[in-house]
Amino acid sequence: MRHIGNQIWLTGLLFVLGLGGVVAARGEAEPSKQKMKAQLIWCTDQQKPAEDKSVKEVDQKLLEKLNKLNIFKWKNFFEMDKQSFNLARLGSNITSLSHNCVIEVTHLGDCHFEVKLYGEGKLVQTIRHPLPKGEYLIIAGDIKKKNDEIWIVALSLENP
Amino acid sequence: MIEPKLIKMQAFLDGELSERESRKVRNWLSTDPEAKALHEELAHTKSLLHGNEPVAPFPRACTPDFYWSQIQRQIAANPAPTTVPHPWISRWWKLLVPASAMALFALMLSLQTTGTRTMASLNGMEIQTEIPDANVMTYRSDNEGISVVWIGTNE
Repeated sequence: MRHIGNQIWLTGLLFVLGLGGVVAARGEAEPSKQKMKAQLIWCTDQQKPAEDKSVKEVDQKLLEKLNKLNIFKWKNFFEMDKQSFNLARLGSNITSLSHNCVIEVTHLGDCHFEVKLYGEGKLVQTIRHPLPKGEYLIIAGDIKKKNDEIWIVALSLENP
Repeated sequence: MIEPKLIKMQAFLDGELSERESRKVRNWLSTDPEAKALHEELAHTKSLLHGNEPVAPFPRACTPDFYWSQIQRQIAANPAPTTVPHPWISRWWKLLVPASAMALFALMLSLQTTGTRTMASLNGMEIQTEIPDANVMTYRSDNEGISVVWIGTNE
């Protein structure tokens, strides 16, 4: 009987140690902070406004991906704003991309993130989504009274 | 000499044969010198063993009663280990260890199942919109590594 009791204890101990090892391994694999890039992109058929120097072409890598998607019918994709920010493990960051577009990004663990989109000071959308490095999460929406144009928020992870 | 005859000769010496068999052996001894020599040898060996067999007389002090009393005394001196009933907490503790392990395992399993269900139900995406009458659509391209959330309004 005592022998069986010892076996139960030993099994329990090994189980707890194994669990601790798994947790430790997961903790080691996950970086303490991550760098995220948020781009506000204007999709239009119009030409680049000559007077606004802040408007830039979208980087080639993202542009190719957007064109290959074949769901965005617009000719031009202009980067209206770009923000890079560090995100601590399980931490949050609030970033303003324009005077009426604010995002709040929260790390949920592993490669999962929560993105809250605020428009004109009000919460519009909450999205929880895995975002591995090298991939993009794009939040798109109509621009009021301008149905021929849309805006895009593109989120991606960068090298820290 | 063949073995059956040797055995019969030994049985003759030990007086274990019937009268008829004994007569046959006597006739055999009177006619066969070899058998007679064997008989003499066996008889001699038997007499030697009988005369020199060590005798271990049972000591008078060590009668069977004495031995039995010794055994009884030993039993009385070393009582059989009686099973002391464990306190109730000890019994519950023994049950608690495997029960805790099973509960922990079930908890881990349920957490894992919940996570998988969430991922599977919305293809890895959870969306909550605050816009009334909004049309939310999603698109995923594994080739390009892009997930798109489209928020359409009816305005």
